[in-house]
Amino acid sequence: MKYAPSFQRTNGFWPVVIALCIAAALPFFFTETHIRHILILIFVYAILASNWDLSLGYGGIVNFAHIAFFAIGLYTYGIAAKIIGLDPWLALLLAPVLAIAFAALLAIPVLRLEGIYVILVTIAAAQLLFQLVVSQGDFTGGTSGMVLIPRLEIVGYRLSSDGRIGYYYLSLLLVVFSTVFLYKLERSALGRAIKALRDNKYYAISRGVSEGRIRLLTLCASAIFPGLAGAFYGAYLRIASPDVFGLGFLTITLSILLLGGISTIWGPLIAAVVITAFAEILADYGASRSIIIAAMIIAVVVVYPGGLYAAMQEIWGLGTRLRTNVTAAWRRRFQASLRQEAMGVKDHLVETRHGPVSVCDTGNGDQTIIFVHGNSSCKEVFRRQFDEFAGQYRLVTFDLPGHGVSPNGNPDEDYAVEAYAEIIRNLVDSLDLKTPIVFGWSLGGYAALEYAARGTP
Amino acid sequence: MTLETFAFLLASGLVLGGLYALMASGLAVVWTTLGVFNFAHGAMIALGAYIAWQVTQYTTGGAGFLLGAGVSVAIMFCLGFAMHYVLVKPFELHANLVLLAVITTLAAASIMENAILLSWGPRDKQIAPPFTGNIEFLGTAIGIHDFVILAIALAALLALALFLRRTTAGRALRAVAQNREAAELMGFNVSRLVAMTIGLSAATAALAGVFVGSLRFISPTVGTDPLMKSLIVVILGGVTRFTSPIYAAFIVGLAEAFSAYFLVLYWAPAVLFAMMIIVLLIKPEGLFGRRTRTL
Amino acid sequence: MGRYSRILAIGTAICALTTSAAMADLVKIGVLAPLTGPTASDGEEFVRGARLAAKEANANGGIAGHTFEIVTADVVDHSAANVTSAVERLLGTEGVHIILTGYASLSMFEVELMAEANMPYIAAGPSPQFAGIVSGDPSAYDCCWSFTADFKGYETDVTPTIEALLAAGHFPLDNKTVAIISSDNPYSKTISEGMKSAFGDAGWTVTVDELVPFGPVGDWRPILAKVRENPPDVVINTDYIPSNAALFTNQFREDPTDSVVFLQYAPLVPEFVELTKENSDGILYNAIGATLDVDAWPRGQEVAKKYKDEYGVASGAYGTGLYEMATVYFEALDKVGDPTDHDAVGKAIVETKRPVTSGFLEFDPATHVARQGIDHVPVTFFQIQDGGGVMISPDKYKSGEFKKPGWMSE
Repeated sequence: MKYAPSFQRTNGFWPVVIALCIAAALPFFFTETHIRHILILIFVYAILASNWDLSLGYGGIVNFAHIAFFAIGLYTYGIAAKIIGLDPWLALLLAPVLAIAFAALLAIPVLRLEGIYVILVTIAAAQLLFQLVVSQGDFTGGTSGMVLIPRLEIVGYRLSSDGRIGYYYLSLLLVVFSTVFLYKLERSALGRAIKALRDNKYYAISRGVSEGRIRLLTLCASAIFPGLAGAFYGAYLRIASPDVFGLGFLTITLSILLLGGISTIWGPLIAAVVITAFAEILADYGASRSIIIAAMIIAVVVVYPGGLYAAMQEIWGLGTRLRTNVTAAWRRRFQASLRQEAMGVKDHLVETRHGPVSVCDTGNGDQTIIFVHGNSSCKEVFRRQFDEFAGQYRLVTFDLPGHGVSPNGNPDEDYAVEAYAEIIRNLVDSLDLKTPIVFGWSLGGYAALEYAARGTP
Repeated sequence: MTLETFAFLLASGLVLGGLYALMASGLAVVWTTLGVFNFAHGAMIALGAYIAWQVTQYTTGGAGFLLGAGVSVAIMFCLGFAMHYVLVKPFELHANLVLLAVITTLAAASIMENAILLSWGPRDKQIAPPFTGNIEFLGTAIGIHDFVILAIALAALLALALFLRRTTAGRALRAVAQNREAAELMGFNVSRLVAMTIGLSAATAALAGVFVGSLRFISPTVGTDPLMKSLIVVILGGVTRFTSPIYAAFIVGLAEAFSAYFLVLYWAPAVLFAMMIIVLLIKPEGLFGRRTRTL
Repeated sequence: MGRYSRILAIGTAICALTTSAAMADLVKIGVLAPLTGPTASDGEEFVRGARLAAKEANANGGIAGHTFEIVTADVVDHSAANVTSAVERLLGTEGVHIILTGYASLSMFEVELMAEANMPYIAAGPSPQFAGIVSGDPSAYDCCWSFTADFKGYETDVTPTIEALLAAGHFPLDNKTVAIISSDNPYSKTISEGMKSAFGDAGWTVTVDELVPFGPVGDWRPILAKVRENPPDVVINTDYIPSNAALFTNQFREDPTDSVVFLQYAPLVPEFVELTKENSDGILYNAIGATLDVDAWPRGQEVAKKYKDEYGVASGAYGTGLYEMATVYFEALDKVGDPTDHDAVGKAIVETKRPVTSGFLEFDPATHVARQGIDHVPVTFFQIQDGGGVMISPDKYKSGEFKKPGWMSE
């Protein structure tokens, strides 16, 4: 968490902006209500799964009553708007409040337990709530649920008119708010405390993180948007039925979360699209559809336990490495003259234990000075030193792996101060530099120190 | 309450308890060994029942029933054995093992249920019970089959317990459950032992399926309810010892029968779930559990 | 076609242009059915019934120049999300101008979606829920009609029928006691509540009044123990899930009391008898909307035979029901001519007055529910005799006589 660039600077910025623009423009391309309905469902699932990630992924609290937050939102909206007769918009805002209240209640047993027992106690709590809802048929409609729940209107305009466009944008807005909320929360002090508790509970406690308070807050925070989404769902479908407590709903949401990848905000959003779209495309295949989807989930989880997001990052990383390698090779091949102009000598690749590096070597002089550049820099940064000392010393500089025109290294081994020191050592041996003066700048300084510390002055 | 009614309720509770014990012990064995909850246990019960039903279509009568049960147990053992390598092994050492196992077992349950639907269709079926007729039990009439089932269930549990306590292979399984690293250091092939545990669990599920399918009826979703019941039983009893869910199963079975009579059946599920939360709060290791893990 | 993307839609539109001459008159009949999930056996019947009707209409050269094709959408477990998705899929399918179903959701909330899209919809789901939605503003739901008749008869007709059996001297009624067991779902509960008051009004005593949670029941013995402590004249169980009812029957027969046993709905499902075998001989049940497969009602016999000839198995209430729903639509379409004129089709459906398998179909304009009664859709009572349902009441249609069940004393 030391280095947390603002969102505009991360490479996720543009994909998110583009995805948002596409989502905002989609209804103009898809005018059939059916596709809009699927999109709205995707948004609802995305909210449910990404908020579940807050407790399950970031907090390490395996809360299987998460869907109950949604159900509470749904029934709160239904009862408040239909039976009490509250304004539907007020009912919509009341829903997350009650969901939070339930989360606080749920925290009591959850705080005392660990691991698999949390799963069990939350399953029991959700089932208990289900029994309660079903038994209070006068308010909740019992097993068949309550129908004709008031719809949402803005000054007489029904959100369901014009092919549900109003509900589409309302759900999109909810997804955006929910994502912003999660993003901000994850990067706040509270978010860091939540993760610290998950990663090393006793260390976190010893540093003053209150376990009870943070776990309570985690559960409550993860209940807000599911509660809202539940109320939205009720207003949209106009029915509140107890099937939301069922295993089917839980399985879909959990699949989305785990397929997307836990402890990522974006993974569940992507997986919601993938799974819902997939299920819809296969809709005509009956029982085989469930088999295919289940097999797909197992396959993804077995190959990528980190989920689709991890897979995407890996593929993205591969792409980036390929791109930078090609660029470096192209520059080595075609822009050598430009660099020669700056440095006065032509560079060439020298093989080391950590792959080939691009080296500039003036070649004559008894005493050698090796210049090592800093992070994200390149050997040409020393062109003025090369001008200045060219006659007096033998000057050697090189691009660290992945820098300048050196090819990329292996991230697990080559990007470390120890590796850089070894590269210097290899260069000294292969170019026969005897006892050089090593000049390091910034990261290069560490490399130089390490080189010195290894007893090779 | 007359003696007759009491005997009737007692019989009902015992038979229910026997079934629950068989269902829950399979679940508990996997839980203790791997620390994961197998959500496919219900579907395994269903699949076991259907395999046996298929066999009884070719051979009828008592022989068919026995053959069906045997074939079903054997096939399910192999399936359980294989499941380990597909569903658990790939991320055995992953930090999120518990969660990943939840999703893979849920997915496996979905595959099994839908495969049953595709191959056998949705209509209710029954495995023809080999014994029909009633016997007198303290002045009331109960199906003979119920008692035979109860006896076989108890015998199967006893056999499993003897296997775990008295044989080398069983002791090896227990060693893995108690301390995996140590067992590994002692040279056990832990992977194969764990796969065997899941196989055993699947075999007990198959047996439970055969019993449910002959006492009651089978449909592709027949496993859902037993799964929930086993969950309650396992939590009440605790999983730290092989025997603890068995006691709990009989308590739940008898409580269900008697509470349905004295209270109303309507609140029975709610009461059970509330009990479950309370037990988890007060004694998370279960009513009969101890702090150390063993089979 | 074209459901997934604009590009696909354009692509298929180009293809469709070339074949439009042949395709123009094809009307797709949407069928909402549980194709997977716990009620998939009923779903199979829905589709078969509708398919049979379409096949027959096509073989006769179509209706008003149109031929038909069945499109199905899976409602899986009848949950709101799945039903909505299935409805939206059908609404979004090009060429669907009518949607039929046995039952899609227990609450019938999908009526609202159909009304919004003005899609003709004929359903056989629970009629009280249907009426509850429609009766608020019937004119807004001109496209939606319930093939299932009013359920009131389920609540009121059991008492007089049993008293009539008593009057005919089939069995002695010692003290007019009845045990009523119900399941916590709107269907079973409404009926059992209605029965309780009907029996109460007729001077009966309710000795056992039990409600079980909705879902599979593991063991009926504790409840049966209560029943046995004070053997009633009549035992009623309104839990409609076939496996529950079958288990109830088997466990009742372990130690039967000297009572008439009445079960709601479940014995209508073919596998009920398979699961209970000879145990169910003597059980009473009734139905509103069951196929009147008796000599007195030729229409019922005709359709039941067609279904059996086509598929080799007898239809439950839904196979023939869906067949008749399609027939009602064909008749309306024949009058209107244009399947795309949904308003006119809806108006034509309300004028339906015709014999169907379940009786004489006529809709009540206030609730859009089929009228119930002896001259419309009657409540028919059956007794299982030698593994088959024999209609013992009403006299107008009956095909046999009540026989004293084997477990009852002489």
